[in-house]
Amino acid sequence: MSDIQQYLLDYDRNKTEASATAQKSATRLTDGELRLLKLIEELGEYFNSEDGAVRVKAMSYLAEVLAFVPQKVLSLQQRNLLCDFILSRTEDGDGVGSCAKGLIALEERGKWDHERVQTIMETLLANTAPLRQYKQQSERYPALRLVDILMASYRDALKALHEATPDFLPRFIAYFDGEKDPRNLMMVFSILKVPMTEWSIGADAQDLFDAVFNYFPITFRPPPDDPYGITAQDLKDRLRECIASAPEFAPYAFPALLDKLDSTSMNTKRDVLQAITASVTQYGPRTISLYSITLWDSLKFEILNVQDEDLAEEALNGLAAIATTLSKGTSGPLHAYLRPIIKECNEHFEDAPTKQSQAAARILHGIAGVSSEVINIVFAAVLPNLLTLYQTADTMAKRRGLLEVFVQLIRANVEVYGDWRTVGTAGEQSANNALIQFRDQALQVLLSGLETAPINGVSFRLVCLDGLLQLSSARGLLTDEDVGKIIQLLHTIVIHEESFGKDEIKEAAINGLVDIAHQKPQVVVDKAFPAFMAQLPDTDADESKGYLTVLEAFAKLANEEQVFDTVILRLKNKFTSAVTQNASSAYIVALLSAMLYALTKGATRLEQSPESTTYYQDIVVPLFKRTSSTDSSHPKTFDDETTLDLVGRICNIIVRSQSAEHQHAIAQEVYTLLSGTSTSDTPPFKASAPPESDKTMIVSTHILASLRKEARLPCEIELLVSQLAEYAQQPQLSAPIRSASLRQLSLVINKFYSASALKTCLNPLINAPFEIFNAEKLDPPRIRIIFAALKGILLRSSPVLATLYPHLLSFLSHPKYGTTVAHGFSTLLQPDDLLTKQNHCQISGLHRQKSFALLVPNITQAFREATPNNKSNYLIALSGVLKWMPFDIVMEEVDHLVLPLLQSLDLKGEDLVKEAAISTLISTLEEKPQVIEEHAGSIISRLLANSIRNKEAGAPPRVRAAALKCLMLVPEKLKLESVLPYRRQVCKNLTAALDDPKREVRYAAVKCRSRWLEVDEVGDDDE
Amino acid sequence: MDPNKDNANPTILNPSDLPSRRRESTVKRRNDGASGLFDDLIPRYNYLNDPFEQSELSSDSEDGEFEHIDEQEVYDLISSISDPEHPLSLGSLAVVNLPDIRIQPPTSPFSSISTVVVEITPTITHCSLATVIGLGVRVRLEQALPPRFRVDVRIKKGTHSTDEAVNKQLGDKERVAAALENATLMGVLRKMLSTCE
Amino acid sequence: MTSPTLALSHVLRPLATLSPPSNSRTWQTAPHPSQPIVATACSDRTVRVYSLTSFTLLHSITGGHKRSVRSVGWKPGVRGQSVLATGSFDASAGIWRRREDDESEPKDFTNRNTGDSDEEEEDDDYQFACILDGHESEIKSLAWSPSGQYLATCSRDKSVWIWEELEDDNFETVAVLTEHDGDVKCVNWHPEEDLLVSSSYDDSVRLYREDSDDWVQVAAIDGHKMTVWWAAFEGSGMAKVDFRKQRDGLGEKQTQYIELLERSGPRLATCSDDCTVRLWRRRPRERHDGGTGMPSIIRSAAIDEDWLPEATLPQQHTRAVYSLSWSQKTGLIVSAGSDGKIIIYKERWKAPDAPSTSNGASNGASADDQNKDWMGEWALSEWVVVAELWEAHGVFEINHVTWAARRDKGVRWEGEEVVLSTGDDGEVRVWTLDELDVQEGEGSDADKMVDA
Repeated sequence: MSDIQQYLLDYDRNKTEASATAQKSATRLTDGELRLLKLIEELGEYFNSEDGAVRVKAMSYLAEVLAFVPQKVLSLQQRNLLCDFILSRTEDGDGVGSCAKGLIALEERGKWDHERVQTIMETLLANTAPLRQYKQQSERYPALRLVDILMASYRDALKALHEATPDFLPRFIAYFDGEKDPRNLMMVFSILKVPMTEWSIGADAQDLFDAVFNYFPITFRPPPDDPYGITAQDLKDRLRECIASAPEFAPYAFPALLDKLDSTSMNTKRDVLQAITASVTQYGPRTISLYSITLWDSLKFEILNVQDEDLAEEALNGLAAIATTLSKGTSGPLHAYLRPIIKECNEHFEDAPTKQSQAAARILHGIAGVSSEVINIVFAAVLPNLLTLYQTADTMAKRRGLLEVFVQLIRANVEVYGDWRTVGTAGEQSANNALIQFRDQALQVLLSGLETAPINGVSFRLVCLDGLLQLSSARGLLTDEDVGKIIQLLHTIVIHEESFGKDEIKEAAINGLVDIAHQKPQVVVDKAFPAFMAQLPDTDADESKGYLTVLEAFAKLANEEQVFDTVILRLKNKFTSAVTQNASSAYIVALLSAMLYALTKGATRLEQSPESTTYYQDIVVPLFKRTSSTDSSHPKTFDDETTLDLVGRICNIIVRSQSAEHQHAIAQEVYTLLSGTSTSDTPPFKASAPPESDKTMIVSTHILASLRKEARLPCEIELLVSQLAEYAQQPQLSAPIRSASLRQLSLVINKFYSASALKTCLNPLINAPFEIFNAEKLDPPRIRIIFAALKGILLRSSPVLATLYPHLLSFLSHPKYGTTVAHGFSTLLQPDDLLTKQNHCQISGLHRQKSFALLVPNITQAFREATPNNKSNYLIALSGVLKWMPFDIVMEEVDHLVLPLLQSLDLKGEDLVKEAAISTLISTLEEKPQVIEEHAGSIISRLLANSIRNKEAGAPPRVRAAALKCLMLVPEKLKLESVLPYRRQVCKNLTAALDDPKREVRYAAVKCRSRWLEVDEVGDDDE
Repeated sequence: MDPNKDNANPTILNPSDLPSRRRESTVKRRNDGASGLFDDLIPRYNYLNDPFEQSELSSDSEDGEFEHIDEQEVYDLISSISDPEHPLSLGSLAVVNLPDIRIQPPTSPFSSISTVVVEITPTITHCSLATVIGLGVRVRLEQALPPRFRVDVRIKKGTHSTDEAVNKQLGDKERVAAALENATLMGVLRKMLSTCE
Repeated sequence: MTSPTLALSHVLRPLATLSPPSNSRTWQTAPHPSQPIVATACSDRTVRVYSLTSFTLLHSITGGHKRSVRSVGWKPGVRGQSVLATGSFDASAGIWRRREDDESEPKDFTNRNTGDSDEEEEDDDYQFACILDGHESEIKSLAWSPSGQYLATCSRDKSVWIWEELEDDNFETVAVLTEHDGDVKCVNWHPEEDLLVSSSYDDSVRLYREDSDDWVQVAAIDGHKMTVWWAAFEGSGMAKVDFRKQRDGLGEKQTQYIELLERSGPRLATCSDDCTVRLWRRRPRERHDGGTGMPSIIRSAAIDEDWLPEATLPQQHTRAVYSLSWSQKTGLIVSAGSDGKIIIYKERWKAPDAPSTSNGASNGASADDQNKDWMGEWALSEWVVVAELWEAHGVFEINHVTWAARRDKGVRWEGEEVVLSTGDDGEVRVWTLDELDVQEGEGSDADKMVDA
């Protein structure tokens, strides 16, 4: 049986088989076994068959064969022959797809000349138009591809054809008429885009436009399993490109688009606005000048009466685009466009502050930002009006409204002309900034506005202040002197103005200073700093706390890196003189706080700053001396734990950033520095030591925290650990010192043990005589030590935990201290500001998972078996662990946790436990509600019980509020049918919470109840 | 202008000028005039909640004082309701104003029933939505205030052409109850109340 | 507790709260004419039937209405079954039937804990019989005529409808009365005549009767300044039971006054948003054309009635008065409303030389109403407050009060009555009225009432 017969046989049964046959023929053709002429002859009979299907298959066979034939096998003459043959077959109405495939195959095997291309095109149009006659998408698609290829590779030929044959274009356009398939449409759009952009389309513009605009707006939703992954967006984008491609479309495009703008569908409106913007950008100034005003007249409504924010944005883009395009052309049209806009906006400003005066401001801001030319026109026409309106305005509100507009315009101005640090979009040309001629008036209005307005005119003054900041940042606008005036006004407000309301003004003023410092650091240093310093006494003889606000403000300036060093320096000097003139501890603490605050703001900067060593010398060392000194130079304040903590933290920040070597040196002296004594008897923790040396514990802990783990300590760590353990047990230690020593223990264990040594690090404590895990010896001091030690270890998620945790868990049933131990669990994973990565601690990414896996399942297990009087201990421990556990870790186990969690809501007096339990329940509701579904009844009743205040055993406000927040989630997250039965009951009971004595609880109750009221009986929508 | 709105261009107040307790709570006034910027330099928990003393210091219970429901609180409850025709809050449109809210204590020692009187100011005198707005306010308060409060919502005298009629409707418990069972109307109200915190 | 400003002779004491209460607002409670049960209209779209013997829930009638049930009424004078009419905000009225087994309902205990759940489908349950459609909006009140022949309904659509039950479950609309220009809040029937009263949001009260088989308005009463929430007639033949019972020793004027009242027939009481409770009396016809039994030609001319302001009760309420009830046994009036108070009033002869007493007992004479002078000469009785109860439902509003025969074990005398109050808290509370004897001072019983 011949190949072709075989092929026809398989065609319907098995496409791949068929293709295989075609391939076979192709090889035979290549090897010369089969001659082309022969093949055509064989086909002949089928091409003449009565049955259209057969003819189609025959052509498909030929096309496939050709596609398989390698390059260069077919001579030019053969190709031409085939080409003519296939073309001739296009007369056969039964299929164009295969013909097109065949031609494509031929084209791939050798370029065509102009005239052939033109013939092909013409023949296609003659024989196969309109394409829609072929019902199969698979028939039309190849044809479209063919045309697309021709368009792509033979532009000149087709362009020539178009120019030579008057009626060509109409026929060409009509050819694609009525295409519906998205994949084909993508093709059609890109085909038509060529004539649109490259040919002179003259009379056919409208047809061409309609050919694509018929599809506007695209409403197609891609089928879920669309193999070609064509999205509505793809189509929208291509369509938009087409619409925007030729200025000749303008007369049809704009009316049609604006007409569709009245649509009620947000999507349509969005498409329209985007299409308008695109067209405006493409059509060019000459065309746009004809439509700019029409466009303005319709686009403005989207902004003046906002229906939908992002539509307003789109409209604004459109208006701006018009301005952009027009500024490319002659100035006439631009003025013509801006005139009505300015006029209308000016009118709206007359009754500011209204929705529309705000919109008008928005419009001008959007347009003015376009170019220097535009903004200058706008300014020239708007600012004078604004200023007169301002002068004649009768109410504060109106003046505010006007200034808001003004400020927006200045902001646009900064965008265009740039600020002191960066050039704006218009490039370096601040010299011709139209704002210059209004500079002085603006400055005067805003300054006096801020200065003279009554203190309760908050919003008004805020606007003035904002305006001043904009002015001060405008590139090349104000002289340093003028900026100075602003700075002065600001710091006067900060320092001298009486506090009012929420102090928004003071806050804005100080932040303003920071902003200005970013633009003009030196001016701020020169003008503001002396003023601040003048307010800071060297000593505070009079007990006035006035300096506090000043210090706060001044410290904030450290946020701006350009003045950071100066801020630190001035603070340090102030501190030194304050100490030497032994000022009150309150004042010294304040100064230290300010310094610490400033340093934390600049911490990142310290890292790479070369100054950091000098900081060490100038700040840390003297602080050490003062701390350790015993003579008269020792300030009283330095015996106070809070002060020492501040000192410690200041040192910590600075030391942290020191080089490894330098740190090493510091490490050597870490204890001696403070005790002044020789290295021999370190560490200096001795029960015998005098109390004030105890205090140095706080500082040394902070320094230890700042060291890299490579730094070597002056004494061997086993000793250090057991000594710290001994030390921490002393009953007379104050809470801060005890905490410091315990945290030092955690730090040492976490940082300075090798992974291997870590396994045995507790042995000194576990073994006799200490026997820390001996149940008989258990007491609170030892419990603290256990947890402190474990904290250091668990952060490194060391395997040894597997042997240590069991001891801990066993203590939960301890008759005397079970509950105490239980409470300890909340400390395990509690974040600690010393045990951090910045402090070079070793923190394994998985330490939480590790502890969770080792603790939680065992706790829940033990809980089930525990005796009634112990059960609560396990609940407490559990919530302690969960409290700090990211929920994604809890998620896996949560199914088993729900019951215990719910039961811990019944505990009496364990409020922190309840809080933790509730917060876990909240996350559970958010992340994995299905596990709560079955407990709906019990969670609802328990939360209700905890959210309503009752005299005896009532939960405290925080718990009540939390319970209410959680209860609010229940209807949100659980299935309607599981919560509906409780609706009325919950709503009724919650009225009690509405009368809670605490505002925050009532607040939560209100939100919760209104959520529950929304839970509705189904099928209630009659009417 | 948009014809299907009664007042397409209302005057808008600036949030900074609206009284509110909510935002205040973030900044607490201190006797020394400082804003407390430095307070958190030393994280609290390090010393303050040593879990081992918890059992004693737990149930930190009512830190005394009873924060009574006052006009400001009522204002906060209703000022965030949004206007049915603008995406703006009744507060910023000055439809509800703090001075127009009065809480009347019980009329007799034998009664614990207080009355909240709210006078609303429609954006313009013929605003057809006055009733809906009033209803929104009344519903919000009935949902958010404890039952010991009677809620009287009225149109401020002389600010509306048909204020008497509207007031009578808003005062009619039975009509309000029926309105709340009307799905369509409820839809509108939900939308208005959806912006309430 | 009682206000010190009044010297009160009685006190209301809590007897029971019908349980379980509803979780949402309850509107009205109707005592069954013969059986010891009541039906309560609930905003949760159900009707709850409670026992007055055990004070527990017997049935919960659900599934009939799509909105709040606002009003319920038992059809009087039916044997062998109970027929209940329900009026709802869904604009429809429903008729329900339940076959009546032995009066003392043992089911009581088997059904008691059915709560809200409408699971039980036993055949002794109330069966939906038919629905009366016609009103355009919420039905606010309904009432059966004393004969049970007519059912009146009224609605926010400003109309009053009268339905006649031709045979079982076949109701025909015999009248649609659209005299009001506001919601019609309440309808009620005259105890002796087919005379219907309706009160409205338009501040007016209107009366209707049939005239040559066409129902027409025969009187309109405008005395209240605001919405009239409730209107109810005095019982029939009260002269034999109330303060008029004791005839000997009365002056001639007083006897004439009694005759006047007799000729007027049962009086009408109304209560309103204006915080007042007012009484109205029909101006009697002249002897010779004594109302009925006269040639029908001229009747229609004479059909209009003239209702005169008789008295305004002492004003104890500080907010809208939603409901009142006029005892058929004792002639006492009870009122309640938004202020949560329950007030009991009693009528008595004026002290001959004291025209009006400290209690501000104001009747027609002192009432600021028209034809004062005419009333003046007859103003011989006065109303006084005999009991006052604050916060009967805690802080919640009271939507309805009514007198009902006491039916529990503790009944103290033949025909003792209790007060049933229905509140926003979803509760129906039962109160006894006790006379204060001398040694029991205000203080002491004030304390007792605190736990009310």
